[in-house]
Amino acid sequence: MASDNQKIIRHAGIDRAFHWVMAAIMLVLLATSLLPMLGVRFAWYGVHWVSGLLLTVIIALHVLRALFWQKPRGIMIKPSDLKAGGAGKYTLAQKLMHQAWTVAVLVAIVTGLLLLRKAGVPFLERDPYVRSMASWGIITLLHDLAALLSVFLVLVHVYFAILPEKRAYLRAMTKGFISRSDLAREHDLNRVDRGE
Amino acid sequence: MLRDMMPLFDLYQPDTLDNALDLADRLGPEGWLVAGGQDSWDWLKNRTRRTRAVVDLSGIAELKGVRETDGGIQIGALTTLTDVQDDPLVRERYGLLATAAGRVASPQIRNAGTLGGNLCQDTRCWYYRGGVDCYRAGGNMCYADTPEGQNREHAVFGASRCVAVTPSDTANALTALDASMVIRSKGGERVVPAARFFVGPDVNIQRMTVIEPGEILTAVRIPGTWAKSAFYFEKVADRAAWDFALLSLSVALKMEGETIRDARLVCGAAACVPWRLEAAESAIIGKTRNDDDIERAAVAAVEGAQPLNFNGFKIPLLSNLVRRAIKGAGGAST
Repeated sequence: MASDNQKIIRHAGIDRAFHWVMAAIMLVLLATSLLPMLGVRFAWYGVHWVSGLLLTVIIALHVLRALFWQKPRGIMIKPSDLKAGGAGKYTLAQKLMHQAWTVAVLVAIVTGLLLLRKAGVPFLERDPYVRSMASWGIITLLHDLAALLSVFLVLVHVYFAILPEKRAYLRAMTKGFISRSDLAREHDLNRVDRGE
Repeated sequence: MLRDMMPLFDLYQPDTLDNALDLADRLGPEGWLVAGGQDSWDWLKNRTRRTRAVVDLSGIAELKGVRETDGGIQIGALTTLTDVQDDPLVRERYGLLATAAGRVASPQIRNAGTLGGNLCQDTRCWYYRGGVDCYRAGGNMCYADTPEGQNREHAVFGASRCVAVTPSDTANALTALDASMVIRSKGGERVVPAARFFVGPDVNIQRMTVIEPGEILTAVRIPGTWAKSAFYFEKVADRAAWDFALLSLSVALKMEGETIRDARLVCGAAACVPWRLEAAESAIIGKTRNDDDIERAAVAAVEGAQPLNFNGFKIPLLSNLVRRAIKGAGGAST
């Protein structure tokens, strides 16, 4: 029988590294896109698109790891998640946050990669005429909406991360471990033990 | 298009700098400041841009003329290019600037155009001037840097989405001379080195200088650092007069006997800002003007250049200009 204080591994080192690298890149992307609009003038464009490409690579690696080394269905929302205290590794709120990030980041990456053709990067011939003006408008709008959604998600994510009652999750994302007693507050430990 | 008809706007003609600053502050972005008008009238007559109010600065006497300062000179922003070209003090100490001012456009335009206006003028990218919704005009596209874009005059250095270049002949001369720009507003005065006065598209894609609404460029200060150095200015354009540069080069060399003790090489019409050729400078500082070092400088000058579809000629042209300039500095400027 496991004791309540037993620490269990919640995030492996590589997953924590992915999380914090993604977080840092996301902050760079938001800073380089939003600060110039607020009047802070600096050479943002090069940093922005390079960071965008880095994020694309990191996300691709994260997806590969999730598909082949982890259980990707663990992050899917199931009916049992709706039951109080019945969550597996992730609560409903955590899963919703992940899904929202997935939407925001994928939209930003896809539209960002498309926009490179118009805005110009050294390794790609610049040709805005591959798409109509209306298409560019929609792509730009989607990219901007994804950025705004990301700002909202950063605020929500950081707010919950620093709430005292959620601090155990923040510790888990820095140190990797969480105690069973902390998990038991919102999770069904049987499901956790089964790796769900 | 009614190209000969001035559109309707409120015209203000202040006769003191304080009045002008009041107006600039009150009108903000809605007040279009005009010095000689050689750039502004095109915009307004072509209806490419509109404004509610024009502040005509040409009647402000205190912003005209050249005067000696501690070790250098100060030139009022409203001093005409002809006056800059002909001023004895400028000619004696800063022949580079006198030559550059004398190569602007045509005598008629130099009689009306001012030094401040020449420095603050907008780019001549014809897509932008034609009124398309490009990045610089607040849009989301560059029409010059496309497979079909006509970009013979455009940038080979420092492009970031927008590939427009600075059209100013005096800007690169003043950058070479380590000049500073005096900018006044209701809130006070700030002095900005030429190297930071001009802004590339990477920093601000809609402006070419750091001047904000409500501010006025009042003077240009040139320190004594490069006075009476060995100078060279050359402007290459399709026509000998009344044309913008395809490339221009300002060079100042401090000589100690046959040795180059310090050097400034600044290129115009190659980037959105006056483009300092620091690698070329390094190649000749501490050397004599021998062929090997000049060749090294000519090669170093074009390092990092990224030509567009139709402006590849600027790269060998710049190398040749650098060769000619280093050999010719101190002699008769072209």
